[in-house]
This record gives sequence, C-alpha cells and structure tokens, in this order.
Amino acid sequence: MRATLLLTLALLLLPPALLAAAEAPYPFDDPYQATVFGTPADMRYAFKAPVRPEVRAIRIEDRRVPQVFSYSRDMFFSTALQDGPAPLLFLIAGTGAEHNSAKMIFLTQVFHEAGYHVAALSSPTHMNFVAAASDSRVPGFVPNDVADLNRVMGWVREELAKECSITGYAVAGYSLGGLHAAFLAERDKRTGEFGFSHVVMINPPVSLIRSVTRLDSWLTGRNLGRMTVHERIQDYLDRFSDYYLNADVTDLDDDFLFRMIKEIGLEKQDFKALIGAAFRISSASMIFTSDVCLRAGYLVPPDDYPLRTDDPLLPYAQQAFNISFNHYLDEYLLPYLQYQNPQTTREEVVRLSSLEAIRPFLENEEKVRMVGNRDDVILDDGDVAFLAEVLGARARFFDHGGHCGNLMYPAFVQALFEAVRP
Amino acid sequence: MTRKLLSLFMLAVLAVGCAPKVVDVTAPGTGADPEGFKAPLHRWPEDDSPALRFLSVRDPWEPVNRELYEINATLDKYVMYPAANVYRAFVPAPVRTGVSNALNNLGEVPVFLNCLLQLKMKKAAITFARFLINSTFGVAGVCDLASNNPKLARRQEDVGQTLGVWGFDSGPYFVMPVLGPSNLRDTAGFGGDTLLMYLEMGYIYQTLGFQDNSPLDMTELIVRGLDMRANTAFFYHSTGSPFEYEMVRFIYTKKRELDIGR
Repeated sequence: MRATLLLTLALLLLPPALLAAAEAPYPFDDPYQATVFGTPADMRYAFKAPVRPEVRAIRIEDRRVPQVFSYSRDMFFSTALQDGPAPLLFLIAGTGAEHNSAKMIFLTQVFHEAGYHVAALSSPTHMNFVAAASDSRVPGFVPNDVADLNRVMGWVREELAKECSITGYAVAGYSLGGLHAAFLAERDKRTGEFGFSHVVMINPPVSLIRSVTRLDSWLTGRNLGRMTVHERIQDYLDRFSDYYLNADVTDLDDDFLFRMIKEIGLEKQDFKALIGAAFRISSASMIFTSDVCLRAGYLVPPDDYPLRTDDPLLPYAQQAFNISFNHYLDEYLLPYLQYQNPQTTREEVVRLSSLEAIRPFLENEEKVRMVGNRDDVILDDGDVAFLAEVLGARARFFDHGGHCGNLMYPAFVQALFEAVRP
Repeated sequence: MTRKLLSLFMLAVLAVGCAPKVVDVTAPGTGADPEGFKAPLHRWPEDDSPALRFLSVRDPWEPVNRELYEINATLDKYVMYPAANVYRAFVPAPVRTGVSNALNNLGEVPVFLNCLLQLKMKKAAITFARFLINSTFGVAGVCDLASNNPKLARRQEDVGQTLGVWGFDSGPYFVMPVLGPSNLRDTAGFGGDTLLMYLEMGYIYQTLGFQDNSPLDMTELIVRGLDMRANTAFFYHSTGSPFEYEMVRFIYTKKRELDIGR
C-alpha cells in the first residue's frame, strides 16, 4: 500500500520535474555573452521534421556584374515548400547575412513547421544581393533596400506559384531584416501587391543608424581604452592561439569555441569589441562590393580597374575595415543619394531608416508583431520604450537574450509560432 | 564494374541536380552600367596600413592561387558538393559513419609513423592503441570504439607537420588544385602521406589476396573523396565576403603553424 502510494506520488511529481528540466532557463543573463554564444546546441528547439531548404537562384538578364565577383553573378535564395496549399512567408536576413546562414536556416524551419511555404532572402546588405540584385547597388538606405527586396519578392512569388499553391502572404525578418519586414508591409499597404496577413519583426533595430552607431562605438577608445582596435584584435588572436596551443582538443567545434571564450577570461568590453568587429567585417564587405560595382573610386583607385579574379584584395580590405557606418553614410551613401536627388538631407536619410518614420502604420496594424529581448544590445532604453509603446501587446519581450542570442531557444520559438498563427 | 558504378553515380548526381536552379528574369533599366557617381572622398590603399595586418601571409604566387581558388570553387559547386549530397541522400548515416571510421582507422598508420618521426611518443602510443582497439573490436575500424574514451580521441599528424617540426619553413602559400589551401611544405607533405597510404593499401590488398588492385584503387579514391567532402562543412563563397580568399589563407596558415607548435 505504502509502495503504491509512493509510486503514485512519484508519478504525480514526475511530469512537473520533467517539464522543469525541459524548460531550463536561457543560460546567459549578460546580453553581450548571449549575443556571442547564442543558444547552446543541446538547448535549441527540436523540430518535429526538420526540412532542408533548397537553394535557388535568380539571374537578371543583361546585368553587368564585375568580373571579380563572377561567383556572385546570380542572386541566391532558399525555399522550403509545403506539399499542399499554404501561405508563402518571405524571410529577410539580418545585416550582412545570407539566405542560408545558420540563423536563417533555423528560422526557415520554424516558419515551415508553422505551416508556411518559406522563401528566405539574403539581406540587401549582403554582397550577393548588392552585386546581383540591387537596383542602385548602394545598400543602407532603407527605402531603396525595401524597393529592391519588393522587386525580388515579386520574382520569387512568380516562380514559386508555378510549383505550389499559394494561399496568402506573410513577411518576417530578424535584426535589420525585421525592420525591412515592417517597411515592406507599410509599402504593401500602399501598393497592395501582396496583402500580407502577418508581419513579424524579430529583434529589430528601431533606427538603423542609431543601432549601428552603437556597434561602431565599441571599436573606439571609449570601449577599448588605450589600445587601438588593431592592437586589440591582435591581442585576442594571440590569446586564442595560446589557448589552442595548450588545449587538449581534437576538433574545433562550437563546443571548443565556447570553452575557449569562457576560459580565456574575456570581459564585457571584449564581448562588445568582438560584436563590433564582426559587424565591421560585414560592413567592410558591403562597402567594397558597392564601390566596385559602381566604380565610384571610394576604396579602389580608378587606375586599379579592371579588377580581376587574380588581383590581391587585402589592401582594400584593410581600408574598408577602418570605415565606420557613419563614415560610410557621410562619405559615400549620402553623396550617392544626393547625386540622385540633390535635395536629400542627412536628417532625412536617418529618419527614413527608422521605424519612427512608419509609426502610425505600426500603431494601427494588428498584423504587425515583434518578438525580441529587453536587453537587446542594439537597442537603447528609448528604443525599447518606443517598441513597447507603439506595438503594445503585439510586442513580445524576453528579459534576456541580447541580440538574437535566444533565437533558437524553445520559448522564443513558441513566441514566433504565436506571432504567425492564422 | 567500377566503370558501371561510376556511371551510375554520375547519373544519380545529374538526377538529384547539380547546381541550384536558376530563373532568368528581366529588369528593365537595371542592366545598364550604374557608373557615373564618384565618391567625393576616397580611402585608397596605403602602404604599411596597420589594419588587419595579421591577414597578410607570404603569397608570391597569389595571382595563380586566386585563379586556382576560383577553379576549385567552381569544381566544388558542380561536382564535389553535389556528389557529396547524393552520397548523403542515398547512403544511410550509419553506413557513412562506418565508412568514415574505417578510413580514419586506415589513416592511423601514417599518423602513427608521423608521431614517431616527430618523437611525440604519447601521441604515437594513443594512435597505436586506437588502431589496435578499432581494428579488432571495432570490426576493421568500422566502429570507433576508442573514441568512447576521451583520452583516446583521434590525433592528427601528417608529413607536412613532421617537416614543420624538423624546421622546414612553410614556404609560399599554395592553393592545391581540387584540394585547396596549402603551402609548399604541406603540398610536399601531402605527397608523402599519399605515398604512405598507397603503400599501406597495397599491403592490405596483397594480404587479402587481390592480384590486380587498380579497380579497387579507383573505388577507394572515389569513396575517400566523397567521405572527405561529406565531412567538410566549408562551402566556397559562403562567407558573404569578397575577402574570403584572404580569410581562408590566414586561417589555414595560422592553424598549421599552431598545429606544428602543439
């Protein structure tokens, strides 16, 4: 009798205990660590039947792509289609990210599991998009980038409609892609091309310029102290090398990288510098690509053309790495926009690259949702307050996760499912 | 037989599809060259820039290397990568793991010899123990039982590293056709490793009683290639950076330098 009682008791207690184990809290309270480490592999959401996205390409006829980027002649994107009729969700990547980066494949699987056909597109700031798809080939001005995305989405829809039955449209994106998603929806309200039923911003910035200025500030003396960014990077390299030399390790997997960064004793300012440097590397790629496509003479002197596959590019990389986004804005993007339209002002460019520009739309559209983190490192307090105020209950904030750190964590994925539920 | 297998395999590659499906579209107005705008300010290359200095690697054959890198990228895109996908699609995971384990087990012999040549006795002992355990209890190496013990994790040493340990300079960076990043010393080392492997396989075929092992050699080469590609996570031009060549060159060079120092 007593044994039965105990057994019953144990069984009653078991499910909550198991649930507690499955719901282990997201492990990083520090937003910078969360941003760098992401979600550990064993804590990620497990898909019921993970799909493998298929890579496809669009080729714009007669488009001139510089020989040095011949491998980037076609614009690549990936798809994961349902067997039967379903709505099509366009997924937009974050700054410098490709359609099939780790985060993008994960999100493609999320929305596919939620019942959508998914078409995943690279960010308009990714070199492939700049070289093969962008109309202006000068990325970073949100209205232009959104027009480019919209055009590409039209081609994708036309192509996919031949293969599957599309019952509606939705759009989502993470980071800068989230901001693009909102602008695409706002544009669509005016043009009525797609009629999106759901719009999801995942960890979006509020103002592109404000967020990238934050990232850039982590590579300046205020964060790095007396060392220059180059000395600091050299210092990290030396410390990583030293750790590897003495570690008993056989594979360089995620687990090793995690242990190394943990054990090397990096501080908050170091995490900031690493995030800033990663961003700088992707912006350097973007700036160089644009300059070469336009032959604008910003990084590459006119005499160096034609640039070919066998030309060394390191000298340009070195220069490009030194360019902060604000420099890019003042020295290249703004002059380009003024070349197109002399009336353009800096204030206008900054304003039109911020969600503040479409505030009434965001306030009134029930279909616009946001899933993000209160401690997102690309947002300041004012940005968080803006999103909470404008979207109200349609903004779902997690306390911890930094910038996209908890993107693969089960509770975050559940919030995404809820955001696209019909 | 090998011919038949080979043509069947090529058919499978074609059936599954090589490169991504490309759709042609027209965009009136965007075909034109966008030139016209000139940046008012410039940031042209400077001699002796302190930025990213760590990325510079001795590479006197850079123009040829860069061409080879592109050729490899194209070959990979249309041949190796699709072939590895077919391999992954048609051969079940446990079989692939078994193949990988068996090949790694055969590879323990050159690793062991290189450990000896570098006078790394502990590594040599571990490698020898792994070979014994896996060749016997692991059914000719198909099961990697030794790795269950973290102290017996697989070690990697090759002739390139041995030459490095004995003071041979890496020499200029070199992109090997098909195989990719290397340098003069490691390319020579690769020759050495291939020779060791060839001798080992010849010995095994002879022991097993095969008279003519040329069809076996061909099959073996294909299986090795498929296994290698299927287990390599790298995909050309997936960094999204026009400076991928520089990045890969740096990572390869640094990693080899550290591995020789370990």
